[in-house]
Amino acid sequence: MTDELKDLGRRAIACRGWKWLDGMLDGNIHEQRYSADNQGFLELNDFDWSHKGAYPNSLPDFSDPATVGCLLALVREAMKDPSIYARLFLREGRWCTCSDAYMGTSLLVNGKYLWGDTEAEALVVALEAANAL
Amino acid sequence: MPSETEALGRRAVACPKWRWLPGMVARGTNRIWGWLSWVRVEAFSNSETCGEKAEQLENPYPDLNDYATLGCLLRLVREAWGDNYAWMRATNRYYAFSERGADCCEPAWILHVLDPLTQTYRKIPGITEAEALIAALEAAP
Repeated sequence: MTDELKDLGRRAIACRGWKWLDGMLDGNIHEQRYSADNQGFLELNDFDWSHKGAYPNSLPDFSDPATVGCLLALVREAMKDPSIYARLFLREGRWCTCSDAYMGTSLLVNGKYLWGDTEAEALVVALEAANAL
Repeated sequence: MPSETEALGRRAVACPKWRWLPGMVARGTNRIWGWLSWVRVEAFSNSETCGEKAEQLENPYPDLNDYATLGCLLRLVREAWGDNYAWMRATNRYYAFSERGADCCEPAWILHVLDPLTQTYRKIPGITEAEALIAALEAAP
């Protein structure tokens, strides 16, 4: 995982709305995916099945499409808006997190547009903005 | 009779551009015990591909209620169309649809993708996010 992706992961897990979801990839040390066991407790695949829950040094790998799908779900939950999505604006060359609640235009939270250089960054910016809600 | 989600999942698997990606959830029948089961697909140490992992179940199909699986499906659609920026948006009808429930058939999600043949944007609708993604995978050139 690149340093940029690690930084983005750290920003994400610092958010109030962050939690590890079933299917997210830990790209920091273990490079394994979190899965829920029969009781719904998270564990790392192929690592230590006796350990339940996330490891403190885990970082989400947002180059993984499954992890980005989970991040989108977290943003929707944190903003209590299931219509949220991220899209690229060609003219700006940047991604923005948007919501249909605002007629499909850029989502404004506390007067801020939720831009990012990548899809994942735009979603992390949205998760950070949800801290203030 | 398969559920709507299962029927959608089977449409996905039937697409020529379909493949299992790491992180997807496969549902199907346990080959030994015969009961319904699921597995989160992952390739292990190059000794087992994602497809082989999914095929541990009989007639596996993706669980489209799973966020990670939907994220992977969007990746597949982008690959299939050659557009890394294809994006899905809720339509303005989304909230009306939510309030009216499942009997409403108006598309509530639209996938925007650049058509490599015409170099114009195509809008592919679906009643759900998953349905729009699968329609896009089916329509991929």
